[in-house]
Amino acid sequence: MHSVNEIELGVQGRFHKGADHFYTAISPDCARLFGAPEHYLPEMRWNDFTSTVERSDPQRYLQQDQEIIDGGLVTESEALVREIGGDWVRLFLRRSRAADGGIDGEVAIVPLQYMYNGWLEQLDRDRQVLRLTNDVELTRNELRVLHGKLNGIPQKLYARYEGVSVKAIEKRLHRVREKLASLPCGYDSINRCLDWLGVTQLIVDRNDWFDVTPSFHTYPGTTLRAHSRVGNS
Amino acid sequence: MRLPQIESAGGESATERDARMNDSLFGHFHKCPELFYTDICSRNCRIFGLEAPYVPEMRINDFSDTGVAFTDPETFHQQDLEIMQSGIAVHAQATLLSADGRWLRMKMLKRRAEDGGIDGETVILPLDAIYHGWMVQLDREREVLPLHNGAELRRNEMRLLRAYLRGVPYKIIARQAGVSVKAIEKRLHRVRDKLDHPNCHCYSLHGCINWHGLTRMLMDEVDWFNPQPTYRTYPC
Repeated sequence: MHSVNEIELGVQGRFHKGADHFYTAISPDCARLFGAPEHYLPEMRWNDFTSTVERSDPQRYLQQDQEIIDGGLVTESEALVREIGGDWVRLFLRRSRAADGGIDGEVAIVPLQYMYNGWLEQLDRDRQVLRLTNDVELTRNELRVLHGKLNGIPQKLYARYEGVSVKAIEKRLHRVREKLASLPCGYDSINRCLDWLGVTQLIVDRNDWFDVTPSFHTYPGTTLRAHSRVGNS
Repeated sequence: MRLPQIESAGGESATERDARMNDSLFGHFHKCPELFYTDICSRNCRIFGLEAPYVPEMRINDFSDTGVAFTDPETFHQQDLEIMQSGIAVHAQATLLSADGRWLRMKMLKRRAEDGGIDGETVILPLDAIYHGWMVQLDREREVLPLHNGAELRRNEMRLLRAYLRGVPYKIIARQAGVSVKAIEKRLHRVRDKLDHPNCHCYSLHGCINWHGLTRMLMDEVDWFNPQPTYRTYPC
């Protein structure tokens, strides 16, 4: 477990669920996020279906908790949720089987507007463009094609997914390259230009920022038996 | 997207402010036009090893020795002067070693305050949380990252993957490493074998790296075995 100081550090929260999947403890930061009472008590009997915040399928989350309990696993995941106040936040979650057979959870919370170096605020949702400078904008389709490129998705696959030809994807990338060439960074490579702008993470993280929906992603390669984690709690 | 409220320079009692800041996910600071800190929230005080509550009479500035490994304070200071002169707001990101020896990521928004100084908001996260637990897995003595499938990524392989993820052409990677393009392809092939995982239908090496939750960590730092404090604002 974390020491008191560690829990207070930054925006780390934590929670505990009993083996019956009702929350027995929720730290104030997490409680605020999900609209739970700040001084949460086990008698309040919240579970994953109680909160009304926008998040992805709680059924899947519950099922994963059961797997953690059954398998004695530690799991790392990342979620995008719309907290009770209406702001989108990124959660980094670590869940492990608790000593009492329930779930111990640790959460790091980042408000999205802090996550991407201010670029989220440069999205013009009406015109569906990302304003890079006064003169340069990337369209929704161009951002999507960049997402595919930065995530290493082969053009053939991406073209099929988008329902367009490979030629159309190449044309979009060519257009992006031309737009980025007008930036004062002087780089030829798309990747370096995006990195110079600090917009890479925004593009990598989501295929379409104009249609934000809650997401929940677990990284299977981070899952391990609780006893094999080293150097941690 | 709603921006968090910035506190006004005055008119709010200490109790009101404490209550509001306790309700916030954010840390905050305020600097007067002379660039001495007049306010630092308790969360940030802990990170910088300062006594809380911070009072203006403590007269800390960016050049004070706080025991935190932070990148060039001169740049930070210079930027604050530019913010005060031009009224622009700046998003920045820093990687720093806290007073208690932990690597942290600090996301920052700085802007000109009503009194002509600087208002800053911060979100601070332990690096291990945003990198899905991989920081604590680094074996610094052997300079390897043990994966949960039993394989280990070597220091050079992690650097190679970083270049790959950032789209550096093989030709340039090869030139920098002083080897042939063929050798780089071979190395990447070997790394992909190490990242092997059940039911792999990954379209590329990117997919395998992401399956392990390593993308963000590999992309963010050139060499995790010799991390340096960084401070970046964008555009660079």
